[in-house]
Amino acid sequence: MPNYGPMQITKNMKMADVIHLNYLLLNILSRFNITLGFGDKTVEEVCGEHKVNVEFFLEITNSYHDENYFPKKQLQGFPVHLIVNYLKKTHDYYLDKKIPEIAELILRLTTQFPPSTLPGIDLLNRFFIDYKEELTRHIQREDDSIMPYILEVEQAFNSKKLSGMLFEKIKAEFIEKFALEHDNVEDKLYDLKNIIIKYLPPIEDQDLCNQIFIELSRLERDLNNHARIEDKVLIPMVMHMERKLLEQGAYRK
Amino acid sequence: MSSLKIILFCKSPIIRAGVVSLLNKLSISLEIKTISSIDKLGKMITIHNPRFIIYSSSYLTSDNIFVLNKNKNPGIKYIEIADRKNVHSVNIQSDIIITLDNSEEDIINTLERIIPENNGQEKKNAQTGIISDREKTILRNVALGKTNKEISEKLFISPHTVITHRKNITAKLGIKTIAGLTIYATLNKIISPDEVMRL
Ligand SMILES: [Fe+2]
Ligand SMILES: [Fe+2]
Repeated sequence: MPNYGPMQITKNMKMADVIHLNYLLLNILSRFNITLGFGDKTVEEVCGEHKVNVEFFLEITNSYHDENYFPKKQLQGFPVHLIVNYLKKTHDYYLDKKIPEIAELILRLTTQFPPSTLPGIDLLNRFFIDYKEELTRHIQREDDSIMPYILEVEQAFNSKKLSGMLFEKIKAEFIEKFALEHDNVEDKLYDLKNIIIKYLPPIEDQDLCNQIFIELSRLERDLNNHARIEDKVLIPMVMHMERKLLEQGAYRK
Repeated sequence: MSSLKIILFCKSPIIRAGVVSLLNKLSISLEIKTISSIDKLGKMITIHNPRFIIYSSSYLTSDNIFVLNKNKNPGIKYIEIADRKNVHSVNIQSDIIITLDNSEEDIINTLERIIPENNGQEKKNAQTGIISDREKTILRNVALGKTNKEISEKLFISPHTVITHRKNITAKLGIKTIAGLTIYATLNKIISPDEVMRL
């Protein structure tokens, strides 16, 4: 079947060529603890050096590179802890890097308007602070409660031993509740993009607005890809393991 | 935005004042001319060029109904205020009937149903992204943190109407969240920053 989408990334490509193909993939490298300076090494060689599962790396980079490529089945073939690790690294990237960077840019933007000319411009800062809090709450819940639970389920699944506590949690539909409540954290970014290009009066430093818009768009896309892995890959995997554990009667009083 | 022109014809000052106060709750920009005698109707139509004529039917008699019928004009919608349903002393085809025993909510809903879709400006605004005065009122309340239920009670419209307005606002502005709408409302002076800060 001919493939009309963007060029797929393979393990024999040089890592440098992959980055030239799509520089946004630079963001992914740090999530795998891969450092720059890879010379002419291939993707496989670089991954090997950094003890990264190359197949997993390829599925993640390809799904990031091409929005239409979503290897749900393939990703579900990897151990859950690999996916959890990747997602947690991504959380850190949002909270420690991206959000502070954008907050800084927005602060700079609001100082372009003297308060007397545009009362209420300060609200833009507050808007983003609120967003940061919302995203932090979202991520903290995942890091502190959901991910540890998922790892516990994986361990029970592998050892075929289910503790009484975990059994109760599965019965109480812990992951189903999370799936239902797992909300969209991109809406506010979309609104902010529209406010910046449609409703703010023009300023001299238009590059600043452009830069904010681009950063918001990238974050939006990143979050989208991230949530898709959580919803379409991780949660179904957990539910599958839970079902199997209950079927096997792994927990006996 | 051009305002919607209305002629209100009614002998009773009580009903006239009541109708005007209800119309103002629609928050659509209106230009209302009131007349107390039907003799002036023809002349007023020529001068004012209304989109709506609201009249009280209780003062129409077989002697003066011809004035109204003579001035029937396809570009004008007729809203009749009747004492009670189906009590017609004379026969005139109105587009819509409001009765004196209708509740305020009923009347406002009825008027809202007929007025916006006949306001040609409205369609244009949907494309240009300009929000109507009514939508501004809704937006203001949303920005103040009011719930749909609170807004519907305050403005005497059904919760369903509030939701429809909110959907239209979001579609026009491209802003989905309350926080985003609040920023828009502040930048456009629909609400003051102080009011937001107090929330
Ligand atoms: Fe997450
Ligand atoms: Fe999430």
